[in-house]
Amino acid sequence: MIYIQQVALINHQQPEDVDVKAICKKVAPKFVRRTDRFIQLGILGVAQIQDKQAISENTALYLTSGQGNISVFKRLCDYRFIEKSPPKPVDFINSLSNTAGFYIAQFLGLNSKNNNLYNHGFVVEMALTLASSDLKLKKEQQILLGGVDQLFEPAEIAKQYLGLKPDVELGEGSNWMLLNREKENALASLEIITQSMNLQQVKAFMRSVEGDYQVAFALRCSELDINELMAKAEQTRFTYEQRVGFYETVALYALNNFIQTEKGLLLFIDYFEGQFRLIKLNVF
Amino acid sequence: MIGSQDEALKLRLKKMIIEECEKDEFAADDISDDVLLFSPESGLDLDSVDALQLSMSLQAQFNVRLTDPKEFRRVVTTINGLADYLQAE
Amino acid sequence: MITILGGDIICALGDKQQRLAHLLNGTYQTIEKKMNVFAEQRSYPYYQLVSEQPLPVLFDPIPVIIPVIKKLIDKLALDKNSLSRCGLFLGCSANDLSISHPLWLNTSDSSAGKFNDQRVGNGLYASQLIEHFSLNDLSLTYNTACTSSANAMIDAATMLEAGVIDYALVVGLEMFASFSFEGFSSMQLLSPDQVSPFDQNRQGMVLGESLAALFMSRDDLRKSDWIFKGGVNRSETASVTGAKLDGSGIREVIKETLDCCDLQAKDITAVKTHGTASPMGDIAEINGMKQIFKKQPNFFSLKPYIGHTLGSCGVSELLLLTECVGQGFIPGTPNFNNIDPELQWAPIKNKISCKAGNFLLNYFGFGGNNVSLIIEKVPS
Repeated sequence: MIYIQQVALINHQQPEDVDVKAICKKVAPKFVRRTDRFIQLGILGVAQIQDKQAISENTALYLTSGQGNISVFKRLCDYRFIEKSPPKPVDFINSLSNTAGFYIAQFLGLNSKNNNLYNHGFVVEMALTLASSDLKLKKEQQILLGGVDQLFEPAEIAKQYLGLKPDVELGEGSNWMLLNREKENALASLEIITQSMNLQQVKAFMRSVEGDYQVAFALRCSELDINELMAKAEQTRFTYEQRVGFYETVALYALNNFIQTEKGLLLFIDYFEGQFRLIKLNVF
Repeated sequence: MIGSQDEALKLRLKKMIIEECEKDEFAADDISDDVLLFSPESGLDLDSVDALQLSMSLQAQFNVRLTDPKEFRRVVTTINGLADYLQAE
Repeated sequence: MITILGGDIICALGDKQQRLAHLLNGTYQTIEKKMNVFAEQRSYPYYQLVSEQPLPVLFDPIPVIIPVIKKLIDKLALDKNSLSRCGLFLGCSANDLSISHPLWLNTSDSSAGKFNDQRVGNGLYASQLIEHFSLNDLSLTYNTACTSSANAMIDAATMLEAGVIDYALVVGLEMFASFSFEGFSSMQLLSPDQVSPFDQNRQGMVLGESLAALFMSRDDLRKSDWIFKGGVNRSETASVTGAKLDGSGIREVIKETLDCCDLQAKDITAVKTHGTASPMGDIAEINGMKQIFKKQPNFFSLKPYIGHTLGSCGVSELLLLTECVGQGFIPGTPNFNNIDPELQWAPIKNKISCKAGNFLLNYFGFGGNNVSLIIEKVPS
């Protein structure tokens, strides 16, 4: 069992209306130079946690993302093919996705494990599984785990690579959890169900969960599947969908949003390409 | 005209430094002509990554190739020094 | 205990027999690659991978690595059940080709670059391998520059120790990427002729390609004479481009690695350095080691053999080391001629005999990402 001590939520439903650099200039004025929107989103996220609780320098940092700092890659392509220029040093540095982790660590004064993780479809669950193992084995005392996704423009291209329908609205976010093994003062406990499931297995799992709980679904879950899973279920549905545009680590927003607004048990049902994965969250 | 006498060239160099090093808080007038750019006295607080950014801009804009830090330090001294290197006469 | 069951690699050294011959004799082969920097054309050496069939400059690595992994599975007799309990940990410093290539094409030619298949993006390489070999779904892809696949090994060991999985396949992939090649040139980090780690006249790194795969497990399931004793990742944030010159960050990661393995500096038989031949990077590494080792240990760099294989160097260099020690030697460091007065220490110039011991492996990357690992070869 792992415990969530603090959460941070940055969720832009209309990213194009948000001047992230201007906000970052206020929150972390020294971190505007050489950083870009992806990195600044990360800093703004962890700054929220730092405002609530001092973060010790040995806190591990696990940064997850759907595609990382893909906008800087696009910028490098523009230089190369349109301006016929080699990569500028700062852009090249920022194109290495763990550069975001570097600046976040620098902002927080960390001197710790620093990871930059991806997975095709279930990056949040996979990173949480690793975090859970590290905490269980006492390899880490505390882990700051977050997901950062920046709106990629043009959005039509992003929808193509994300496999989304043209009418899906895209968002962006930077959502974080401070995790450790201590129940004291924790906001919630979190349990990752490590095996992936099909629809029938999810149904069986839902039946096996004791007591009242709420259910939330990933944005990729089809209405058909949601209706089937909820048809005979007694649970209520926790909805967050109206508050977000799609981004790949939006699961962290859903979990953190539940922690901020609800109490009790949540079963988060994630979905990608025919597979379901479950996260159990218990808010104290 | 030797570079250090060419105000237009020097203004261009100052603007290039401000842009490439993202020193938005500086105006061209804030940069002295005769202070070592990579020194505390300049107030610019430039480092090795700034040097790399400037190396690339100097090659793009003036076709000057500065291949290593030593050569960079020899050429990029003050605004006057750099201007004279770029425009010897 | 975490065991290293075996692995294989496709790199610039050729097949295993050729690899061992090069590593024994201190030889290697590079090609020249050119790039345009504005009006100027530059040329740098490059360690291109030698494969059975010639590959285009830009290639999908998955069909190339699949037969390598298949042979390993057969050799290790991993059955379906074992594979279903095998997680996949993959390190690569670039984006998956499936997402970067269409974006690239889209910029260069607005009519091109459609994503034909919805399955694109970072993590896709891993998911293709999982599907092909029916591995466990547990998988992480690492993008921490030059420490990517070293970090993958550390976390694979953690997941094995926690019992989340029983086997781990760790893969390091690094293929030619023009942005890396040109980006490192912009950073003035590439050597114009050769890579000479720790030499007084070193001029920087030479990049290389490598595809490597390695299986790990636990000794309660699979014994091996190679043990993964432990590893540590510690970031330092003084400079985005690398470790502090005084070596304090490197000292810390090595010290923590020794501590987590219950070992002392005197227990280390030899050190596989990161040794990129970057003028500053080599100083930081030696300064760090000097604060750990009272006297100079046997150390070497594998970069002159396969180049700096970035995200793949974690697995690739570990594998080359195990192959050498398996044959009873530690390789020398080609191109080393003159001791740098600032370093004073010199790597092993020619191979030395070695059949067992504890080996420290260093990996340091952009973003201040420092990793050290220790592996042990138990006497056969």
